Amino acid sequence: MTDVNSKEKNSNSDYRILIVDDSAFVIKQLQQIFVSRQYIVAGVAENGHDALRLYKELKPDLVTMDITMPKMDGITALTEIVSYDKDAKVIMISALGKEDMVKKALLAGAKNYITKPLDRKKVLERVASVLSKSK
Amino acid sequence: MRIDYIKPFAEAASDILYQYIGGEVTNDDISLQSRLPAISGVISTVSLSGYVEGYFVLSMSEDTAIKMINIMSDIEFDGFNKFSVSIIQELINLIVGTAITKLDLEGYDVNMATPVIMSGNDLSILTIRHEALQIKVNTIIGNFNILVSVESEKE
Repeated sequence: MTDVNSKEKNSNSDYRILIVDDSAFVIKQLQQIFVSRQYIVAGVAENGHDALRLYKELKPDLVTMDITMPKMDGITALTEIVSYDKDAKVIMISALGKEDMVKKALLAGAKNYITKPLDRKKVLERVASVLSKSK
Repeated sequence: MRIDYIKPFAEAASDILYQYIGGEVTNDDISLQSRLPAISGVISTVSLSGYVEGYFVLSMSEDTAIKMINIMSDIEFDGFNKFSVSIIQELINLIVGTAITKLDLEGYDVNMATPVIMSGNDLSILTIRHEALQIKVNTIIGNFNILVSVESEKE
């Protein structure tokens, strides 16, 4: 079996992204942003529990993670994902810009933190920046 | 109810609605309600916890909700489905998230639950102890009605 993450990444279409958000609207917004730059949306999850399951199954290059979600919140899901894969690249995306929340996310292993409303340019810049950093 | 707990919600609602709708957004009709009025249309509500506890309610007519959904999504909807309702959910997320961020800057740590969206006529809100501040936000696509009720046990 070929490991999708073992290949050299030459273009955006080599990167697979998992979107985690409980809002169908935000999922669609992020899908449109990523597809516009040829990133592959490998999967979507509507809660932290499904995010963890899909991360293990899909092994994406990057995860965008909401915080306030049912079943399992984004910080808990982030912690679980990072304990499963210490090199996981997770960007938190939330309407909550509280300083302690940002610190908590970064300490738990998030590579970046974006506050909503979503700004296409900002999202693409942060994603490119996180993906460009080698494991 | 202290004004410094309420002000961030009024400001956040005006800011977010203006970002999407543009035009003139005013919230000059503010009143304290000891008995909450019945609400009709599309209603979204969020529970708040932490330094202050209470709730935030955003309501609008179905016509205004559809206009807002169309503006935010850039898609023409003429009714409600899971996707269009998620847009209203995101609207209240943005308003309350922004308000909580403002409260955090003032030193008040507040958390929000997942929003609940409802639709109906003459819905009554029953609460145990809070009076609420009612704020009417006027925009070019219609009026948004806000009820905020927050109190702190730490005072």
